[in-house]
This record gives sequence, structure tokens and C-alpha cells, in this order.
Amino acid sequence: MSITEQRPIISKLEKQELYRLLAEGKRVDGRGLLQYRNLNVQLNYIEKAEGSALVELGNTKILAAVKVGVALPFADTPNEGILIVNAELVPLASPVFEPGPPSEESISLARYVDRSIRESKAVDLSSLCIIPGRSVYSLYVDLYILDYDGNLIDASVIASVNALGTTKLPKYSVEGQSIKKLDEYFKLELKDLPVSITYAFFGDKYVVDPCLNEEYASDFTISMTVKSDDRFCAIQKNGGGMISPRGFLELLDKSIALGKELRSIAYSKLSGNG
Amino acid sequence: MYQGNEQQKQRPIVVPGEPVGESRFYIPGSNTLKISDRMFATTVGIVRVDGKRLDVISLKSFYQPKIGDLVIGIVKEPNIGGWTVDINSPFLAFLPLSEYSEKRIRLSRDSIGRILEIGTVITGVIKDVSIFSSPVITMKGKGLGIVSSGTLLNITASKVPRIIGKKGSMLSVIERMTGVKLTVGQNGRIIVHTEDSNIVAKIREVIEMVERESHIYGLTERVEALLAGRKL
Repeated sequence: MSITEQRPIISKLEKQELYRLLAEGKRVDGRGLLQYRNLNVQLNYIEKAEGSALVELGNTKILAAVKVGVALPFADTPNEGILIVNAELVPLASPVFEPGPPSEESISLARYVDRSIRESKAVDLSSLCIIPGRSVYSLYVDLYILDYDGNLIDASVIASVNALGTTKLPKYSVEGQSIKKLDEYFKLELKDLPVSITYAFFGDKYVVDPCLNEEYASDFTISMTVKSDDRFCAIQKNGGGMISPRGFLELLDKSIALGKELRSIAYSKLSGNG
Repeated sequence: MYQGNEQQKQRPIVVPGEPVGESRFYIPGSNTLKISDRMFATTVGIVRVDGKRLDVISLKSFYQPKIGDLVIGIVKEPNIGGWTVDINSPFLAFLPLSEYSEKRIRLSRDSIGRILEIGTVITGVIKDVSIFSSPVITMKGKGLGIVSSGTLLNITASKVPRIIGKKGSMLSVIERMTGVKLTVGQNGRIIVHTEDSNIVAKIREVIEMVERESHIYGLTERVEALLAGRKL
């Protein structure tokens, strides 16, 4: 059983400074309220994995890798491949991460990323079937958080989608009820490029892409995943607090605009990757 | 100061396992390991030779409490007979009620959490360190106490001597050129006694520069240039 971790304490002086700057429309690191940090994506970072990507969002650093296998499909979806997302909060990333069984935070992160990919239908799972009810491809997306400076969710979604975009699957030949691995590979087609936008709320003010201190000092955060067609496929709120219905609708509009901008930066390398 | 090669612009960075010297010439200092007559670095850092003593100063580190150090702490939680204080170290410090103030405090049963609230920033001095219990800090003394205004900044603890400089040279340069007083804790926390966001942003830049470039010679001059470059 995991216990809910306590949020690290942020000092009153740092909190005062955050609020003081917010009132002036500024942020601690000099960004605008709706400005993302520098995003850097490196594709195919691990040679041995079928697909991988290293994403740096400011000082947050995440390595995503995809492992491909063949497995028995789930009984309720005999024609669909298997997609499993797992997030590992490595203790080297932050003093608040401890070794041991997965924490609530890592499970919640993995579930959100899973939802973003699954519900956006970015991966067409029905195309990953080899023999219905018998053999399907299984995709394991492993996220390793290497440096934690806030906003894991957005960086993780970008890292996983990039890693899936570089994934190459081995071809199998079907002989009756058995399969044989061939020495050929084909690229995994992505049907959508979802991006997640995270906001941190301070009273009635909010900022996008919170850094670590902003995340700790905020009342709550909201993450929204937008698909390429401007529809939403995942929304999650972390922490206690309220937002008015009007404010929420406003946020949806902002997410669509920000999503377009972020998508063009985050997945620019994928189109050039043969 | 590393006295190896003054002509060299940059101090060499060593990695764990790298030979740093022979024990015939030097006494092994911090972050070094002596195997037979050779010495190896045990951390990523720069080599510093002081007389016969050879240390490896780590590029990034957490604070190791030492008696007499001025530290800036954040109250973590009220406890029986005192408070636990986060001092940016692997160890949580303890501030006993008796070390809170010279004045007598009247303590009713539930008010210990109200005297010092969670998140309050305090300046204190390490009074006692032992391997059996948490470090003890005291707020008794001149200039120590609660900090209620100003801005709190962070720097990695191994770079604190660089932000202070030789006999306080770097600190006085920063204070003179920005016109603001700074309190530097040995544990890598700095209080800038102003709430002017422009000055704070400038000092943040200086801290980033010190963290990034302290192994390159002529740091004070470069900091001076950075502060003079854009007038406040």
C-alpha cells in the first residue's frame, strides 16, 4: 500500500514572492503567465529500445522508451493490441522521490498519460492484432523521470507520444495458429498527436506549465489533453480548490490555442523521422 | 585556490575514480579516497590545493551541518518542546523552545504552532551536531530570528563560499552594486532584503552565473560586469 506523500513545504517568503509577482503579471523565472519553458526533444535516444525519446522541458527531464512484445490479448478485446504505460519516479530526480513500490503520484501520472494516448486513439490498437484472440502486439511505454522541476504531466505526454512515433514493430508471418518473427520492421502509425496543457491556480489567477515552486505553492493544478482536431480526451484536477464554470470554459479555449502552438513544437521532429 | 597552473583559464573538473594526486605530496582532504600512494576523487568537482591539503570541491552538494554555521531554515512542523526546521540538508534540524528567544515565552498548551507557523523563514546558528540526534539550532544571538520580509533564493551549498568570496569580496561587490543587503546562510539559502523584482531578478542572474561558472577564473570581475552592464 502506498501512502499519500506530503507536499514539501514551501517557505512563506517564496510564496509571498510568487503572489507579488503574479499580481504584476510576472513569474519567478521571467516567463509570461501563458508561456511554456524551453522544450527540447531528442528522438531515438536509446538504441536497444524499439522506440524512445528524451524530453527536456526547462529543467524537467523525462526519458520515454517503448518495448514491443507479443502477448495474449485481453479476453474482452481479442482483436486489439495491448498498451501499458508505466512511470518511474527515480529517486535521483528529486529529494521527494523515494525508492520502493510505485507511489500514488507515479500511478496517477502513468494513468493520465495512458488515458491521453488511449482516448485520443493516437495508437490504433486494432491494427496491432496478429491472430485474433491469440497473439497481439504489446506496447510497454516506460517513463523515467530523470529530473523533476514541475509539470511532469505535459512533459510525459510529449515524451510518450514522441517515443511511440519512433517505434518500429517487427513483422510476423502467420502459419496456421503459430507465428514466426521475420527480420523486417514496420513503423507504428500515429493517428493523432495529443498534447497536454497544465495550469496551476493561485486564487483567481493561473499560469501555464508551472515550475516546481509554482506547483508546490499553487492551490491546485488542472491538466487537459487536446487532440489534433481540438477535442479534449483527458482532463484531470490535482489538489483541492474550485473554478467557476465560466472560468473553465475560458480554460478550454486557451488550451486549444496553446495546444496548437505546443503541438507544432513538440512533434516537429517526428515528421522528419523516417 | 588551485595553485596548479595560474595560466589556465579553467579549473579542471574531475569525475569519481579519477586520480587527483599522489599522497607523497598531498594530504587527502574531503571527497578524496587514498588507495596505497594514490588519491582519487569520489565526486564530480574541482580540485583545490590548500598548502599540502588536497580537496575535491563538489559541483553540487547538500549542506552538511557544522557547529557555528549561520543557516537559514524553514519551519517544517511544531513538535514537543520545539520545532523541526528544514535546513536544506539530509538532516532535519531541531529548534528547541529554550533556543527560540532571549525573552521568556508564555506557552499555553496549543500555541507552539502559532509562535512559529509552518513555512516561516528563520535565521539561526547551528549549536550542536551529533551522529545520534538531529542538529540543534539556536535563534538566540544578534541578527538572528524570524525573517518576515525579503526574498529567499537558493544556491547549491558547495557554492556558498564563492558567493561570499575571499573575505566577503564577492558579497560586498553584489551589495555595493545593487544597494541591497544580503544574508547568506551556509546551507545554500540567501535572503535578499528587498522585494523589488528587478533587483531580485538581477541577483538571480548572478547566482546562476556563480553556479555555472565558478570553476573559471575571474568570477568576481565577471559578476561585476554583469551587474554594471545593465544599470538598475
